[in-house]
Amino acid sequence: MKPLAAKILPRLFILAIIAFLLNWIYTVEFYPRDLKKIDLLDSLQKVIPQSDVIYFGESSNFSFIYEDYDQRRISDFITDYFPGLQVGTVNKGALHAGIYLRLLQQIPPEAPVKTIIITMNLRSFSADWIYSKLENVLQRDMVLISDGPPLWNRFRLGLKAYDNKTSMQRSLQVKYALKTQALPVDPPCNFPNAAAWIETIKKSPTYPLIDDSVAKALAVSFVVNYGFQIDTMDNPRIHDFDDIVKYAHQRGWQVILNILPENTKLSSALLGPCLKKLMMSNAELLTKRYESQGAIVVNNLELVDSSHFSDKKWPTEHYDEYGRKMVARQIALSMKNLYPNYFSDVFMKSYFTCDYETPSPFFLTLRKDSTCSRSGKFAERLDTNNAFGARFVRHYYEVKTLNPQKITASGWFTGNYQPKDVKLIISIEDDKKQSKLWTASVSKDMENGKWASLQVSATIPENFGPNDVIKVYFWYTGKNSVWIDDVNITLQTENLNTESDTISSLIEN
Amino acid sequence: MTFNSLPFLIFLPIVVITYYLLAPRWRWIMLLAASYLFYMWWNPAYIILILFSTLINFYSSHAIERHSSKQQKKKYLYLCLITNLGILFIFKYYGLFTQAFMGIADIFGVKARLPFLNLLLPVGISFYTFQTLSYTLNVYFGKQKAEKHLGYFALFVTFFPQLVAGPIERYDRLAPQLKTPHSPSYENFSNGFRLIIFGLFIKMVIADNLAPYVEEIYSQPAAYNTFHLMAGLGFYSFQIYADFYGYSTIAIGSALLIGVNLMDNFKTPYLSASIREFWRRWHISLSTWFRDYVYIPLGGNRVKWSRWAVNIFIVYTLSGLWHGANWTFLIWGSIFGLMFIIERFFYERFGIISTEKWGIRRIFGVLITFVIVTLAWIFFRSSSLSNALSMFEALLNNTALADPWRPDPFIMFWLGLFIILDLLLFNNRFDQWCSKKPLWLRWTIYTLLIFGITAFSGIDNQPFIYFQF
Repeated sequence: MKPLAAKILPRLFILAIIAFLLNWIYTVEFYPRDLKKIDLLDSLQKVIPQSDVIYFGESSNFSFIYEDYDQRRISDFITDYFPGLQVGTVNKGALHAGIYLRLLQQIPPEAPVKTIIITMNLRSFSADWIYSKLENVLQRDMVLISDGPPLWNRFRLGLKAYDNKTSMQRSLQVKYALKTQALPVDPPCNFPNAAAWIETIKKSPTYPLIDDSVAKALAVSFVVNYGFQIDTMDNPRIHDFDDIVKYAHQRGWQVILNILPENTKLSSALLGPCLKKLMMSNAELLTKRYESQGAIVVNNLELVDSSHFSDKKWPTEHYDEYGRKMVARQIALSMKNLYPNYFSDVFMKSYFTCDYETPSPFFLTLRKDSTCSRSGKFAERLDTNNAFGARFVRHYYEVKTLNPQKITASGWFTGNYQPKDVKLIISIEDDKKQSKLWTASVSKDMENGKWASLQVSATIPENFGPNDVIKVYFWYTGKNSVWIDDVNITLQTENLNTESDTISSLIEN
Repeated sequence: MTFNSLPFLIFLPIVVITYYLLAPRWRWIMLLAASYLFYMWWNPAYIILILFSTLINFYSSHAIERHSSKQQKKKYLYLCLITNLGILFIFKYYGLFTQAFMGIADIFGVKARLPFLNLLLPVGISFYTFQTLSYTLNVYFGKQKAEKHLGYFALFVTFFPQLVAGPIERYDRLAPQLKTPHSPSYENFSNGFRLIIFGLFIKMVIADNLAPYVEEIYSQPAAYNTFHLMAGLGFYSFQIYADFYGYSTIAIGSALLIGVNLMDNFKTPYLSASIREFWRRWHISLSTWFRDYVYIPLGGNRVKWSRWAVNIFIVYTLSGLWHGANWTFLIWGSIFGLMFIIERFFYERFGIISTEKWGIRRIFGVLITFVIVTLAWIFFRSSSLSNALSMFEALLNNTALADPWRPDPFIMFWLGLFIILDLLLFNNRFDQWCSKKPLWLRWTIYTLLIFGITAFSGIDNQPFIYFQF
C-alpha cells in the first residue's frame, strides 16, 4: 500500500494545483460569459446599476391577453406613478422567494437600490409549486451564483448537481404533501387534507357547485393550488421570505411584499366558502407575519374580479390590463410615503405628451424615427406600412376620479402629402367597439414639407361608462412618408364651451 | 445513478476503497449491495425485475445442468427464455405489438382493442436480459457450468459499471474476475482514471453540447437549409457515438479500479471502411452477442448465399428491434442488413474498396460508410417514420433556405479535439495509447480534458441515450 500511496499522492497534489489554475482561468475568462447566458442573471446585472427600486416577479407580471391595449407589465405601470424614479424589473415564469433571495444576494453594496418589491404569490406556498418540475431549470440557473469556486459551480452544472428531480419524483412529492398536510377542520369545511378534498370532488355528482365540463378539473386544480394551511415551521417559502426581509433590513432596503390577487370569486362559485376562507387566512397570516417584521405588505388577494383573470380553465395569477394596472396602483400607493417627491397619481393626470425623446408611457405602439424631427432627434414616420401613429388610450377607470368633461389633442406633422390623407382623431369607444369620432384634418392651403399642427377637441359624453375607452391617434392614408412629433393631450375637468365638438386648425410653424 | 453525476463521483471512490479494505470473501457482498443501490437510485421498484430475472436464470440453469434428458433441458431453457423475453416484451414491446395488432385488425375491418399498459421502461432491461440469457444458453449448450453461488451469479447480473448500458459481458469472462481477490494496483488506478476522465469528457463535453443543436434541427427540419441539416446530422453521428462510447469508457474505467477488465465496446467505428467493419467496431458486445446466439445458430455463412443473406437480414433487423419498440428501429436495422449484403456482393466482389490498409481506397470507404451510417441514424433518432421522412424531405428541398444556425465556436473546438483524438486512437484504447506518451503530453491531455469537463460540459439534462434500451 505504501508504494502505491507514494505514487498516487504526488499526482493528486498536482491535480489540485491544476484545478486551482483552471479555476483562475475560468473565473477570469469564461465565468462572465457563462453568467450572460443565464437570462435571469443577465437581466439582474443590467438593472442593478440604474435602479432605485427593483421589482421581482414571475409570470403574473406579464400580459397574456392579445386584446390588451397596453401590454406592459405590472412593474412598468408602477413606473408611471414615479416619473424620475428608476424601477428595474427582474422576472421569469415560476420564480419564487427562494430564487428572489439568491438574486438579491447578487446586488453589490454600491448599487443605488433602496427598495425591493417582491411578488408574494399564494400559490407559491403550495406543494404543487414547491415541488414543480419547473424547479429544475430555476435551480440550474442558480448554480453558477452559489458559494464556492466558480469552476466547481460550473462543474456542478455539468453534473446536474442541484435540485434536479424527474417529473415522476416531483409528482410523488406533491401527492405525498397533499395527503399529509393537515387542513383546519371547521364545519362545513370537513376535509382533513387536500387529497381527501380532491377525492370528494372526483366522486361527488353535486360537487363542485358549477356543473359544466371543465368544472371538476378546475375545482381540483383550485384545491391542489390553494388547499393548504401555511405551516410557518415547515413551509420553505416562509423561510425564504423570512430570509428576504431579514436580508433586506441588513442591506437597509425597504421591502414591499405584494400578495397577488387570486380568483376567489371563482373558487367560491366552484367550492363554496371553504377554499376562499383558507386563502384569506393564509394571506392574513402572511400580512401579519411580515408587517411585524417591518415589511410593507400589500394584500391584494381580493383586488381583481374574476372577469379580469386571463385563464379560465385553470387557476393562475395572469391578469388583463385592468388587473395589472390595479395591482400596480396598490403597490404605487404603498410606496407613496417612501417617495413623496416622485409620486404622481396616474389616475389624476390630465396632461400627456409624446415628444419621441423622453419616455412616453401613455402612448402605445410608439415607433421612433430619426430621419427628421420637430423637436429633439426623433419623430414618428407614417407610411403605407404604418398608417397609425402612437396611440393614446385611456380607460374609464383611469379617468373616473379626475372626471374630465373635455379632451383636447394636438400634434405636429410634416412631409409630402395630400390634405385628405392626414388626420388627428379622438375616438370614444364602448364595450361593443362602437366608436364616436372627432377628427381634425388638414386644410387645402397647407404647405407641404413644413411642420404644421392639427388640434382636435371633444366633449366626453355624459354616458361615458365603465367599459368605455378614449383613444387619440394620427391616421395617415397616403403613399409618401409623413412624420409626426410633439403630440399633446389634455383632459379638462371644467365644463368648457362645447358648441363646436370638432375644431380643425392649421398653424404655420 | 448515472456516471456523470455527483452521487456517482462520491459513490465510486467509496466502493473502490471499501472493496480493497474488505477481506476478499466479503467483497462480493459489498459489490452486490453497491450494484443494487446503484440501480435503485433510479427506481427502487424495478429492482424486483432484476431479482426475478436473477433467480429464474440461476435455477433454470441448475435444472438444465441437472437433467440429462434433452427434452427436460429444453423445457427449462424454454421456461427461462419465455420468462426473460416475456418481461422484455411486456415492458418494451407491448406498445408496438398492440399498435401493429390493432392496425392489422383495422385492415380486416375488425375493431380489436387491447388494454393499454402505461409502464415505465426499466433502465437497462435489454442489457441485463441479454447478459443473463447468454449465460443460460451457454449452460444449455454445455459451454458453461452452472454457477453454484447465487451471490456471485447475482453480482454477474448486476455488476454496477455495466448493468444499465453494457458492455454485455459473458459469464466466462466476467465471473472469474469478480471472484479473483484483486490487490490495488497503480496501473489499474491510472488506467481507470484515464478512461473515466476521457469517458466523462466525451459524454459531458461532446455529446451533451451537441444534443441541443441536434434537438433543434430534428424538432423542425423544415426550418433549416440543406447544409445545416447535413451538419446537424453529422452532429448526431458524433453525439450518439460520444454518448455511448463515453458511457462504455467510464464503465470500463470504473471496473478497472477494482481490477475487473470489461470488454471493449467501441474501436473508432467511424474509421470503418465498410458496414461490416463498422459493426466490428460499434457496440462490439452486442454485435458479438448476435453473432454467437443468432447468426451462428441460423447457420452463419456456412450456408447457401440466399440463406446467408436472409440470416444477415434477420440478425440486423433483430438488432434494430433490440434498440427499441418502434418501426424506425426496425428500418434502421434493416438498412444495415441490406447494406451489408449489397456491400459484400457489389463492393468486395469487384474490389472497389480495400478495407485493409490506409490509402485512397480506404479513405473513400471510410467516407462512404460514414455517410451511410449518418443517414441511417435519421431513422434511429426520429420518433416516428413520418418525422424521419420529413427530415429526408427537408434535406432534399431546403437548398435555398437561410437560417440563423450558429454553433458555439468553443463546442466546435472540443469536437475538433475529439475527432483528432479519435483518429489518433485508431485500433487503440485511450488508456493504453496515453500510457505510451511522454509525461508532458499526458498531463497536457489530462489538463485539457479536465478543463473541458469542468468548464464546458453541456448544461441541459441529457440522459445517456442507450439507457432507454
